[in-house]
Amino acid sequence: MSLTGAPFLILLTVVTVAIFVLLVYFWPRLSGGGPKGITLRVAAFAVAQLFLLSTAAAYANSYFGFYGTWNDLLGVANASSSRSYTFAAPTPLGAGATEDPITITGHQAVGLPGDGNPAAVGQILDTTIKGQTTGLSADAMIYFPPQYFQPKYADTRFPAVIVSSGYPGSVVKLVTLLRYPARLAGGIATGQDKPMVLVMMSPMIIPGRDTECTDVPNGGPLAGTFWSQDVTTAVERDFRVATDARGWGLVGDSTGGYCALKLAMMNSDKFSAAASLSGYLDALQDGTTGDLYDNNQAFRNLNNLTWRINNLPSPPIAALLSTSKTGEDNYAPTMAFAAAAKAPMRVSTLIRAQGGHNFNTWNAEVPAALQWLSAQLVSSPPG
Amino acid sequence: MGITSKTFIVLLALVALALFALTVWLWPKLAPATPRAICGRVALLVSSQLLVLSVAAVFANAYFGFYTSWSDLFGSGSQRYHVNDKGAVAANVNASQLTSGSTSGLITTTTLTGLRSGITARLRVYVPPHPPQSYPAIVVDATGQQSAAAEAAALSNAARPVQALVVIVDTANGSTIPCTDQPGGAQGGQFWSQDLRSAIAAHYAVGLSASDWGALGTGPDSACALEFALADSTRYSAAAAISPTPAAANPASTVTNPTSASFNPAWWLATYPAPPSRILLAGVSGPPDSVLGHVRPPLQTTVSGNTDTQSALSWLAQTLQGVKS
Repeated sequence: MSLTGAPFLILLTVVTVAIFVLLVYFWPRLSGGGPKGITLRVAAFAVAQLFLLSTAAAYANSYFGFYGTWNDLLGVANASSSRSYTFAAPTPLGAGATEDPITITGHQAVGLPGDGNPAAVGQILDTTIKGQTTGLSADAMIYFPPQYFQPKYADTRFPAVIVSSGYPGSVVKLVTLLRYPARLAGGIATGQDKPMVLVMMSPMIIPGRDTECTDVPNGGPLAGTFWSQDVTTAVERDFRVATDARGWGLVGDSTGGYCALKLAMMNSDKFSAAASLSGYLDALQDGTTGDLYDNNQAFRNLNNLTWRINNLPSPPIAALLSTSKTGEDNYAPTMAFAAAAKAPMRVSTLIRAQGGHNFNTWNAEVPAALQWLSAQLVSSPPG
Repeated sequence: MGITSKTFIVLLALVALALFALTVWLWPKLAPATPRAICGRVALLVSSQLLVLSVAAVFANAYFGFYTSWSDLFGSGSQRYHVNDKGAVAANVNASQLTSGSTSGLITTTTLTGLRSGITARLRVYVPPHPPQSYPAIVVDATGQQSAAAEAAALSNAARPVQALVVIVDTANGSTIPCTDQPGGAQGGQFWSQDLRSAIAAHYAVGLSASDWGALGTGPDSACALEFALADSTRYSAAAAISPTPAAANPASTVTNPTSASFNPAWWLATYPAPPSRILLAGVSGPPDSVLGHVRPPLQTTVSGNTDTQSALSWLAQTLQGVKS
């Protein structure tokens, strides 16, 4: 039974209501005096409360898409209890050079009238991308704009954008909650946005481990290489997307924003633009990440974007950083980053007077981020 | 009272606790089976349970910092923002890394100042005579050598011109450039995989796909060439290692970290998938495993006893052309 599916939610709801009804029905039996009666009442109350909390948590998780599967959820519980992590060597790919790195598993609705007609609203493919160089793999939803299917654009290689959710977060919410594809389709129709291919992913590429898109030393998962090299190479191989940096960008919220900016700064030969919505800049380490930096401060610094901008040459990319004056912790670091960046890097900012670290904020910012990316990226041949 | 303020959360928790206590205390009074008492049970239970639930929700919200004000929660706050747009990066940014050089015969000497790494190196760029429309590129790491005499001699051999762009990299003071980004040190990875490739591709008819790029190294310098083809295989697809260090001679203690200065091919291949690269091991008498460890498809290796630089360059040029077509 899936964690976010209707059957599980309905079952939890039914059990919760049933416990409530039973409690009201058998109320008199728990009315005894003395410590025994009180203990029974407290226990009964606690059981009912626990189910109500679980039901609420399950609905919230289903709505916001924090954990998509039981594996994701239980993986976090296990990882944080032991705080250790071992990485099994991936199985050799065999004839990897000829194996298709992208497996298409289905389709998703774009969420617009005209769904089912790719030349009108575009198309979303459910895929699994297998990393040729890292052995990691991840689910991705890939959106192709209507123009991808129109004869006029048959020879165009479209700009491509990797879209990342936060951590924890699920890919499907990028379609249903933040509505990147529907918003891009709308933006293209009004001339505000360029036709672009969106490769939508979640940083949860390893169950229970928040890798923060890091190449973990000492034989750990090469998550940074997976995102920046494996995914781009696979998408370029299978679809009509640009193959140079001027055609590749990134956007994400929270952890996804940190990943977007970090991957572009570290791979400026592959990406020319990154939009970080409420992204932080320091190299995070907590119970869900475990030790990503081999206990090595110098290596951790390389993953700290504030350290990078202060100590290394500013890379040739354009960045859009969003923050708000009240409601976000990243206001001061973001402004300091923008001030420290030097040519050839260009740092644009999107500043709100207010707004917290939530979907209301990102919903308002996604259209601006898509418009900004449209202005940065070019198709090849330019069209 | 702010949604994340301590006062609000504590107050809400106290009210919830009080209502919970009231529920336990009033319980026996609602035991009679009258409609009034039953309605009382439902009302008391619903309100106390919902209150505990809201305490949990408010606490979680404050902890994770989702909604930091009431207007934020209800979406009634201003969604206005201001974009300060600084525009895009200049299109010719990668070309600007090379200074105009001096040409002697087929070789142009120029200086590369890496945009990303900040590392400066001398490049000797060889372009084949009568070059085709596009050709592959071979990087020769000569940063550990006094001069790249063998490579330079091989390139001036007019009888068998190498059919690829060859770029010999060294530094003014003879210092080496590490193969990868060093924590607290030189950003060698940024130099070799991004600065150098993007600068050459901006000036010559060379593409940026891995199938266009190979690397050559001799002796200890072959470690970088092997690192590129094994650990950076989306940027380099081929390597020629002349007299490389045998696997057994690589001390395990210095090579477990991909960010460490030295690179151990056997450790890499034991840890990560084999890449779709092609590697020439020149001047090697044993099997490829004696240098690379667990060799397996899609990695392809060629072993040769010949240590001639000209032959190794030609092998790379032919291999890269073959991959392209």
